[in-house]
Amino acid sequence: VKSRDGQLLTGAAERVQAIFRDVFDDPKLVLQYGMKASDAPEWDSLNHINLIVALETEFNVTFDEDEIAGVTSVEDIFAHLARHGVDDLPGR
Amino acid sequence: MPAATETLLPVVGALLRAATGGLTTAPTKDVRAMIESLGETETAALAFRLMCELSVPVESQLFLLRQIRMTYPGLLERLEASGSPASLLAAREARYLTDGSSDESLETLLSDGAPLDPRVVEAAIEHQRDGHNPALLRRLLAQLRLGAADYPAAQRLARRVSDLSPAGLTALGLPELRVAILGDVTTKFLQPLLQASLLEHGVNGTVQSGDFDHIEVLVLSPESWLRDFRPDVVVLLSSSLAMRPSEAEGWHDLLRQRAELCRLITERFSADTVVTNFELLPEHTGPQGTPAWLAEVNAALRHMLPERSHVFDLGSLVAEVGVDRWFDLRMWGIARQSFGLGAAPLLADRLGRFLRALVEPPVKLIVADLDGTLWGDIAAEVGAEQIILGGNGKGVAYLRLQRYLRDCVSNGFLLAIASKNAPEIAREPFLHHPEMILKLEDLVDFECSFNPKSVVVPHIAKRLSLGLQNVLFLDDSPHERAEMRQQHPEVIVPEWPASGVAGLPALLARSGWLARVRLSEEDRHRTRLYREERFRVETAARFSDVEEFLNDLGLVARLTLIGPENLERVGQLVQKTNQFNLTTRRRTRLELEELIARPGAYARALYLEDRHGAYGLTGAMIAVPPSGETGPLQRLVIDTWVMSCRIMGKTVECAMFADLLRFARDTRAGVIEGVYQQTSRNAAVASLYEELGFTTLGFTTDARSPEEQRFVFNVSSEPARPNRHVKVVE
Repeated sequence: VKSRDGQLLTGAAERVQAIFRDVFDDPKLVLQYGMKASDAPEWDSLNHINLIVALETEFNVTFDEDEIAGVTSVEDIFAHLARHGVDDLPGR
Repeated sequence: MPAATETLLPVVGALLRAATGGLTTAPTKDVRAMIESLGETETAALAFRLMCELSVPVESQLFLLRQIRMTYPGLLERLEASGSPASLLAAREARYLTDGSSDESLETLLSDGAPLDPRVVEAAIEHQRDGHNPALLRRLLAQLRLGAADYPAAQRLARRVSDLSPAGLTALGLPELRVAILGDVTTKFLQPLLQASLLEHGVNGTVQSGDFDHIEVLVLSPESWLRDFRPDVVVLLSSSLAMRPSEAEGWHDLLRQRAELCRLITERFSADTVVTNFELLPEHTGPQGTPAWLAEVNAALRHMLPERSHVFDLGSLVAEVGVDRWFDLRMWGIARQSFGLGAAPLLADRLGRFLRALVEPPVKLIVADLDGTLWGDIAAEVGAEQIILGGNGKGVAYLRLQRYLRDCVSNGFLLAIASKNAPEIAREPFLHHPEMILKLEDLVDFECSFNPKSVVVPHIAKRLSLGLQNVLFLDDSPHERAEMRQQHPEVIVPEWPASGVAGLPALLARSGWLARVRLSEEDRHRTRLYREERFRVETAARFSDVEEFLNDLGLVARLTLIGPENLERVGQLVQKTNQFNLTTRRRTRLELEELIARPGAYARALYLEDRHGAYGLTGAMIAVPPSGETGPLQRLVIDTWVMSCRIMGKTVECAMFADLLRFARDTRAGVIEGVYQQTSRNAAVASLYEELGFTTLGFTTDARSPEEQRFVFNVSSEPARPNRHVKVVE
């Protein structure tokens, strides 16, 4: 996992990366901090829900409807997880 | 999770972080140091398990496992020898993952039926992807346990399953089924899961899902994908959530439309349909309870559906899970997804089991143990009166299991006993315990011996001409279960639930092994039919002397006049009997009516029974004076003589002839004439007339039937084969 400035990310970010690898079925995927749904063809409406459910299961959190609809990038995911009390997330 | 596991979590967590932080960045020696700090044996075993449970890429897990094995050489061997089932499983899983996933280690892993970690199953399916070992792949798929996985894990499993090569899947030799899931709710999340679930339950399914609310268009449009897909089954997924308020009021119209849709689907695609019933919603709980329409609509649903349309009981699944866990109303709002995705794996599992039962019920024969399974305690030690059965306390659970099994027998499943006991002791409770629900007549076989059950059960199955894959084996002894799994992996051997026998009926019900989606009249009587035949075979084996056997059978032949009440059945017998059929003249109903109405005609239907049960109408004989001939000492010509092959070899033909002879003498006929007309199938009766003492008159000169051989019997003589074994009654 690489941050915007190319720094290695650890902790919760790896777990998010593992989820992306699973949902997009790409074991070599490297999660980019700046990745957006609009840029990734695999990130369709079906996989969007799959990502959300996998994140909720992994971090034991629940997003509301607005949050689910509002997630459009990896950055949004980190922001939502932080709001739900997940620490160990990469800073900016 | 055991307490020790929780204290270990931070250590394992640190390890994983080191490993996943990038195998390049974390120095291997640091990882090794951390592993050493864990200590050996049980602690390390738990570490193996934990690694599998956390969401970590497989390659990181492998790295860690290898480091642990290098730190503690011989660790896996010691774990396997430790005697703890958890350690054994962990060691086997670790061995499988790190030893290059060989077929042999997978075989070992699957052998005791313990639930494997989903990550290990994933890796194993990936390794079996090319289908190089169909038998092993089939066993692996049977242990997928999709229904027990959480949604993300189930999805990963389903994806690995979808990667399996089509040729490999075909090589499994499973029945194929094309399933379309349509709904007025979202079906696309269920599609991959159902496909995997079908494979787990022994069906090579192809599943397609359709957009919600387009059902009518799909069915009616000549260009729809549904037409090209050629479904065998169409599942119509629905939900009370999707019901509009006006529809709840006027649900009769809704059901009529649905029934019409099912009829159309069956007509257009020649497919079965599966319809979900209407489930309880969260707002239907509380002091006010369920609205009346919900109970009514579900009751009416079953009556209104056409043939080949089946109800999947979604309501009972929601009840099992609980409404609060079943629904995720956010997802209904966002995606018209009518159940929480957490419930999707379980729904896919149950629907897969239901469809499996629709194709063919997986189980035909249940073989149950006695002591500890059908009752508590050991009958040989405490006596039949003292076994734990009924009363208060634990005995109630055994009664409930017996009642469940009795219902299975009523639904056409066969039940047999395999007990390590002396027969008279084992039968005693069935005969004399006042609370026994199962009776001897519910059983198709009763095998008491001290042979291993892995020998006895195949023996029972073979006698019933059933394969071992159709056998469900119930035994409370872990040793017996392990032995059966080891020797016959194809036998279905359920693990005993934690609550013991009390939990068994629910386990069996939810498994779908004993679900019968289609139920025929014959199913209800199957035990009786098999049992009677089985006891006849058994008795035949006991008597070395055929004469003694026949006498012991207690054969009774009732020879009844053929008339309106049995003419139909006699006609069928004449039409379909090939072996014991002297002329193979397929008399029509009209011809039969004419023959039996002729003055001086002998026309009898044979109803046979013996001490084991009734065979029913299994024979007929019609002998008539040639038209125009009357008066004393006339000829009586046997026009039709048939007997079912089920009763051949029991000398019943001697009884039938004796009765004809009696009639001939009473009516002062002079001779009885018989005709044998050879066909490709009736060689068994070629010499019948000669054996009975007829004199051959040679072949007819009639060019139209050159093989017709005619015989004559003088009524004043005695038959060469008199009737000795069959009692004849009117």
